[in-house]
Amino acid sequence: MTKPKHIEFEPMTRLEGHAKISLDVTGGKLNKCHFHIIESPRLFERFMEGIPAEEAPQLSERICGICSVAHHLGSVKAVEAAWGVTPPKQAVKLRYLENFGEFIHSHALHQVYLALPDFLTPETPNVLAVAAKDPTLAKKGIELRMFGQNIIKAVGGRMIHPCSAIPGGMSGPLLQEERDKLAKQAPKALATARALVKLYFKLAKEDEVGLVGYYLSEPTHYFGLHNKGVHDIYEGTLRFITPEGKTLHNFQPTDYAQYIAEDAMPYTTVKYPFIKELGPDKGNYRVGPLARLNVSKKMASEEAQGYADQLFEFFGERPIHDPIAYNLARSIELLSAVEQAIPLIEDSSLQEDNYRIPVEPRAGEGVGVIEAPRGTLFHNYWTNDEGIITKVNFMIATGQNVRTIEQAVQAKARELLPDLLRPRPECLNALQRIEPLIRAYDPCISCSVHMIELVKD
Amino acid sequence: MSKANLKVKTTPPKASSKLTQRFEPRIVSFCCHYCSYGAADLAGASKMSYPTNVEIIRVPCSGRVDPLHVLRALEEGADGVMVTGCLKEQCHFVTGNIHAEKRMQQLMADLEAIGLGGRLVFELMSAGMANKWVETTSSFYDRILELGPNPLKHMKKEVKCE
Amino acid sequence: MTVRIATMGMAGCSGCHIALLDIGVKLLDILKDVELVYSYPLVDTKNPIPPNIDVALIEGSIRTEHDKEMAEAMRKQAKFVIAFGACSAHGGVNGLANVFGGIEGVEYVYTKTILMAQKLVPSEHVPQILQNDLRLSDVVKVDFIIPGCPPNPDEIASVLTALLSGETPVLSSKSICDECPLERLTEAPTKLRRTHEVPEPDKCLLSQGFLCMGPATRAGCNAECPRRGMPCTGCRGPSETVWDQGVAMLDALAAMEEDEISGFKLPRLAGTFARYTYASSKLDNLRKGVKKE
Ligand code: SF4
Ligand code: SF4
Ligand code: SF4
Ligand code: FES
Repeated sequence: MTKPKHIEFEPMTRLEGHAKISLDVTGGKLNKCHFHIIESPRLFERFMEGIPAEEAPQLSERICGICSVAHHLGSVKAVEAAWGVTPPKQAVKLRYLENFGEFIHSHALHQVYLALPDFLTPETPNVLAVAAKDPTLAKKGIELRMFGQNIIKAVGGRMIHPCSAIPGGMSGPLLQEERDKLAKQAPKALATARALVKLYFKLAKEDEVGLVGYYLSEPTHYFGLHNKGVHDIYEGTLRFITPEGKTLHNFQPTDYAQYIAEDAMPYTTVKYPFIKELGPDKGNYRVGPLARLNVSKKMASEEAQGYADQLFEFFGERPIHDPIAYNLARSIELLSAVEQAIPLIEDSSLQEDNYRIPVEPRAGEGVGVIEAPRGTLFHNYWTNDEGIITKVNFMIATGQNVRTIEQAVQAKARELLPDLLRPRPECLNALQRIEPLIRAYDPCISCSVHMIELVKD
Repeated sequence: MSKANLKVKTTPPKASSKLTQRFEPRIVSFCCHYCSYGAADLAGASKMSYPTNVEIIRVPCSGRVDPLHVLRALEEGADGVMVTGCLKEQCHFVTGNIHAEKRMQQLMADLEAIGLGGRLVFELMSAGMANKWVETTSSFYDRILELGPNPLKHMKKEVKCE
Repeated sequence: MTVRIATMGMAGCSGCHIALLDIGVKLLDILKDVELVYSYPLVDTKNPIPPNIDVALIEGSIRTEHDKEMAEAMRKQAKFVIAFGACSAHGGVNGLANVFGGIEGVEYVYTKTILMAQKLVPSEHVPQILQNDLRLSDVVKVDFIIPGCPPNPDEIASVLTALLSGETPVLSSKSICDECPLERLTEAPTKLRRTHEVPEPDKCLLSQGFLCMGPATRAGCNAECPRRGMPCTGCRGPSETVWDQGVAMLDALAAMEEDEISGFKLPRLAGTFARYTYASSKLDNLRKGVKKE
C-alpha cells in the first residue's frame, strides 16, 4: 500500500487572487481534491461596525481594487435603502456611467491581459507574448481598458477606489472638459470592443487549442440581475433560473436572505452560497457574464443582442453551461458597456446641478445589489438612529462560482492525474490544462503571487 | 523617505519578583507653568502632603501637551498620566486648555478601547488651589493603586519615528 | 543592463497592482529595459522566487504566516524592497481590525454574519492567521514606500523611472492642503459635520467643518478627493512633518474651534482619524503591548 500523498499547486496564475489546488492521492487514486482560496482574510465585516454609514462606500470598496466601483455603488445603494433615500436622476445616470466604465476596464483587463494568452499564445501564455505576437492588439487593449478607467476617474474622482458616491447622490457632476475628453476617446474604444468580440468568436469557432467543450459543463442554476427581462448592471429584479432555463425565483433584492444561504468550508477562506430552498448540494448556482446572459431575455443594445443570439446558436443550448462561454459572454458585455456608455457621455444633463439631495441619517436596514463584472454583489447594512452601522453582511460575486469551479477542477484533476503526479515540469503542463477553466470565471480573489509552487510530501 | 529610527534607551524596569513587594505607582503629571505647577508648588510650600511619586513635567500651557506625549509616557512605563491646566477662561494662551480638554477626552476614550482605561486624568485648577492639587493627585494615586501596574512595563522600548 | 523587477501581493485588494497598470501605454516604455521576473498580472512564473531581483514591489499588509514567509523569501532575493501602497506601507484599512484585537474578527466573520448556515472557521490547508495586521516593515526591512490606497500612477511611474536611471526616488514632502485648489475660509467652523451633509462647493472642506485629513496627509495625489468635493480620508499616510497621522488630526481638530464643537462627541472608533495607518499608529502599538500580557 502506498503512502497517502498530499500535493499542492500554488498559487494559480493569472487570476486576481491567492488560490491553490490540493490533491490527496492514495495508491494512485484521487481521494480528495480541493480548490482553496487562501486569500488573507481582511475582516471588513468586523471593522465596518461602528462607522458612520455615509463613510461605508469609501471603506467597503477597499475589498477589491478591480471592481471597486461595484462595491462603492453597491454600498451607497445599501445606505440609501437603509435611510430611505431616492437619489436624483442625474446621480443615477452618473452611477450607470461609472459602472459601465468599470465593466470596460475589468472585462478588458481579463479579456486582453489574462484570458487571451490561453487562446492566442498557448505555448507561452502571458500577455507579453501576446504583445510580441500582435503589438497593435495589445496596445489597443490597453487603450480600451484606460477608456474605462478614464470614465471612472471623470465620474468618481479616482480611477481605483472612487470617492464620489454619497448617500443622496454624487459629490459632483460630469465636468464639461472631462466629457469632451471622453467623447474623443469613445469611437476608438467602440472599434476595439467590436474587434475583440469578433476575435473571440473566431477563436472559439476555430478552437485550435481545443478549449470549447473540453471542460465539464455540469448544468447548474444561474443567477443575475435584469430589468424587465433586459440585461442590466445597476438596478432591477433578481432571477434564479433552473438548469433547464425556467424561472425558479424572481424577487426584489431586499428579499435575498429568504432565497440564499451560505456555508463555510474548512479548507477555503471564501463562503459558499447556495439556493436555500434546494440545499447546498442541489442549490448550486453560477453568476457572472454568462449567468447574466442566461437569465436576461435581451441585451440592452441591438449589436450586443446580435452577438448574444450568435452565442446561443453556437453552443446550441439555452442556458449555456460550457464554462468557456464565459469568455465570449464577457466580450459581448464589454461591447454592450461601451455602446451604453457613449450616449451617457453625450447626455448634457450630466453637467447639470441636480446630482445631490440632502439626506437624514436614521435607523434602518438596507440591501444594495449591483452587478459587478464577476457577478451579483450584495451589501447589506443595519444602521442605528444616528446612522451608524451596527451590522453588515456582504455576498461577493466570486464566492458564488467557487463551488462549480471546484467540481470542474476535481473532474479534470481525476482525468489528468497521472500527468499531475509526474515531476515538474510535466505536471505543470497538465496544470496548464486546468487553469484556463478557473480563469474562465475570472475569479477575483484579489491579487495573487504569480507562481506555481509544488509541494510534495 | 522615512526618517532614521530614533532609539530611546531606558533602563529595564526591575522585575517585581516578590509578590510581597508593594506596587508603587509612577505618575507623570504635565503641569501648566501658570497654574497647576504653581498649585503643586504651593502645596509643597504649605507642607501639605501628596503622593511623592508624582513626577512633574512643566509645560508652558496644557494646550502644549500633544496626545503623543501621553502615549509616550505610558509606553515608557508610567502607570498613570495627569494633564492639568488653568481654569476655564484663565488660560494664558486663551484657548489652550479647551483644546487640551478635547484632545484628552478623545484620548481617554481611545485608551479605554485598548485596555488602558482610567490611566489618564485631565483637571483644571488655578495657582492658588493647592487643595485641588492634593485632592487630584491623591485620588488618582488611589485609582492607579487599584488598577495595578501599567501592563506595558515589560514592552520592548523602541520608539520608531516616522 | 536590464533591471529585474518583481511584484507580489499580500493581504490587499490588488488595487495597487491595477494602479501600476493604470500607468497605461507609458508602462510599455518603462518596461522596455526591465525584465519582469516575477509578477502576477503580467507573466506566468513557475518557479520559486528567482534570485537577484533589483526592485521588488510588495502590495498588501501581513495578515497570515504565509504572507510573512513570502515577504521574507522576497526580501532574501531582492536588493531594493518597496512597500507598495497603504496596506503595505502603513497597514491599510485592514489594520482597522486591530481595533477589535485583530484575530477576534476572524471567528466573528465566519460565525456571526447572517447567511451562515453552519458555523465553521476555515482551518485546513489555509494559512495561519496572525494575531494582528502588520505592515511590511514590521516583518522585513523596507527600503522605500510608495504610499496611497492605491498609489497614484504618475507617482509610481516617477519612482520607477528614477530607480531605473539609478537615482534616489523622492516623495512629496508637502501636505494635501498644499495641492488643494479649494478656497480657505478665514473663520473657523462652528460645528463638525458629517460627510453626508452637503458642502458649499469650491470652499475648503475642513473650514466648513468636514473631517478632511488634508493637513495631516502627504501630498502627491493632486488632492483628488477634495477636487471631487469629498474630504480627504488620508490614504497617503502621514506627511513628512507628522509622526502619527491620527494623533495629528485629532490635535488639529481640537485646536480648530474655541468652544465645544457640537458633533465632536459622535461615538468614534479609535481608528477614525487613522483609517489607513491604524496598524502602525502609536495607539495600536500600545494596544499590542497590552494584549501580549
Ligand atoms: S493599499 Fe489600498 S489599493 Fe492597495 S492593496 Fe491596500 S486596499 Fe488595495
Ligand atoms: S479641503 Fe481639505 S485638503 Fe483642501 S485645503 Fe481644506 S483641509 Fe486641506
Ligand atoms: S485626497 Fe486624500 S484620500 Fe484622496 S487620494 Fe489624496 S490622499 Fe488619498
Ligand atoms: S496657560 Fe495654563 S492651560 Fe493654557
